[in-house]
Amino acid sequence: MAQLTLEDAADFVIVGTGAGGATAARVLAEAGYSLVLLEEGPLLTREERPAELLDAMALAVRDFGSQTTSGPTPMPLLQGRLVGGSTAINSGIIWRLPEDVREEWTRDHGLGWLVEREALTRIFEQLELELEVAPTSDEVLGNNGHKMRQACEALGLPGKPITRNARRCQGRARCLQGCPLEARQSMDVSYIPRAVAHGARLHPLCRATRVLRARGRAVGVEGEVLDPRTRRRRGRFQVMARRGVIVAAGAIHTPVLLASSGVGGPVGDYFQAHPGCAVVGRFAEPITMGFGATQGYEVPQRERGFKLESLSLPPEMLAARLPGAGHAWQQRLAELDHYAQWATQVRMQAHGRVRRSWLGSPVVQYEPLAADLAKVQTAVALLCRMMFAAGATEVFPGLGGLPEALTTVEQVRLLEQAPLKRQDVHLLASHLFGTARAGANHRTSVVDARLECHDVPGLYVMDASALPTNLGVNPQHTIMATVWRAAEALAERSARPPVA
Amino acid sequence: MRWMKFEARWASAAMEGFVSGRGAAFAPHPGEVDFVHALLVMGAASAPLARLGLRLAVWLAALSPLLLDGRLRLLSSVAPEQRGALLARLLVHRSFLLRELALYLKLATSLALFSVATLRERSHYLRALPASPPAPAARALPLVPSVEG
Repeated sequence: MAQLTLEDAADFVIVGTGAGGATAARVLAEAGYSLVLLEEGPLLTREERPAELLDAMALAVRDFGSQTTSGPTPMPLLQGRLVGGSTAINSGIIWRLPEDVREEWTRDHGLGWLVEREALTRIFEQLELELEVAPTSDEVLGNNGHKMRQACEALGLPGKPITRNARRCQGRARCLQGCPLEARQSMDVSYIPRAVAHGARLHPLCRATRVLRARGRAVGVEGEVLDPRTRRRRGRFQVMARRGVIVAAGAIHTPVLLASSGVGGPVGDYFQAHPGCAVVGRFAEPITMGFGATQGYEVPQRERGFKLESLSLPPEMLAARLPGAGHAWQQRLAELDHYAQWATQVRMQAHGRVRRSWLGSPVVQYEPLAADLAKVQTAVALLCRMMFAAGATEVFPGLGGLPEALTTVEQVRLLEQAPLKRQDVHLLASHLFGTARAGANHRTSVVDARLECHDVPGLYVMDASALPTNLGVNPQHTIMATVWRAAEALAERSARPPVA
Repeated sequence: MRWMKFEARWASAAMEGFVSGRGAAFAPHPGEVDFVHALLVMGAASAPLARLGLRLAVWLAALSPLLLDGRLRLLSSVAPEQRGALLARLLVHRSFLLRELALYLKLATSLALFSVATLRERSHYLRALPASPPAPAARALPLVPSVEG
């Protein structure tokens, strides 16, 4: 096959089309700047989104979900790899930046301008208006969410319907494969089309490998054009940027791209996450996780360092999560409509590092601390108690060294008798932060409060990498708001482009 | 990711082992599920280390009679009702690595099983699904001046 060469140029080049890149595109395109958007993954139309997870994951999830931390107990790190990034395959959960985190970033990281309260409030309100943000309605809460509400009422917990960017949700429970109705306002159906309508050019299947510099300033991006079927290299591209390069490739791949481009400072350090795990319960009555918001109900427990959420699974994942093999497993598979699943996301204190291997791929070193595992243990025990409070007849905590199925609430004590060991819990993380963090101090941060690289003028980091710490809540809204703030200022201070 | 013929046979036998045993309403019919296809799709899309893990998982399951009971036999030569029991023991093994590999193969099995419409139906996953209104017309997606050609 002939090698393909792609060349393009624009005021700004944006690498990545997730929450950060798409928001930057939304702001800059509507300010009149020309843009090129580069995305490693494909553009999937609604018709191209398979319902079956095997094909959906192969198309849309980076490495089929097999990207993990290194070390003896690897932890999967889930990220979308398609136009829209992870927003195309998440549940669209919306949380504003918590005030205590905002204060910490202002006080300890010198980010007062970036997270200035009034400015952020204005931006959050604008985002919520444009992205159809609303609490999950009772009609689409589904039994998985209703059961969690029932548990909260029984135990006096502060549960509430999850606020999502999916006001027109019809409860198809397919957020993780990509909304079949385009009701959820992921970036591929909201800000990317909006930016394209304002003249942005979108190049999917283009993997950036290096930021180009001239006289120390970022002036473009080069990389590989990928084959849509095999994902192997099919050619090369080079896109020149007249005013700036914006890197928004996510907290794993942004630092790798920066390191490959010779950016110095603590690139890849200060990695943080919200790892989590889930508990499944069996109920005598049907739950039917196939109907309802994929994630419709939550129990914030920020003061304890975790958050609980209902999480409806597609049948493939639910089946794998049910214990056993052989006849016993088959029996369970014949009644998949009787199971509910609730998960916890833990705000871990641990820091890790992302490094570039000699092959160019990322290596993520990250291990939860004992204090983090204690939070997991508390959260899992609470989830088990909630399942019983909602009427579950069997509960599967999913922890090693324990009975696979608990049948009485008294058995939950077994979970609390000894400290949880790392190898006894299946953790998974999808909220990743801090690998090119923003701050005033050049030694401890990579970009400044305006998200411009300390070392390289004209190079910006606009994704979760720039958030200096984890949040304890879902990060999409905070990523978008901070990027909006920085992109607005960037549009303002760049020379106004001529109107085409 | 290429599989040797014997490995593909081992993989099929191991993945069928997860749903072995008679009498369950869900039981797949012979030939109803293409287990190896699921492994190929997963392998092609996975990271190199995960591809190695998938292969190790197949070997682990195939050799589980030897590993767990010291019997010089392959999983495929064990009676169908005993295969599930051996795999269930791997899933709760004290070694984190063995447990994870067995779970990885179980996930591949689940992905293969639920790629089949008749099995999705027999799982009753969508039983009692409320009627939902028809999907609205797709919105026009952006014209992508892309890398075609």
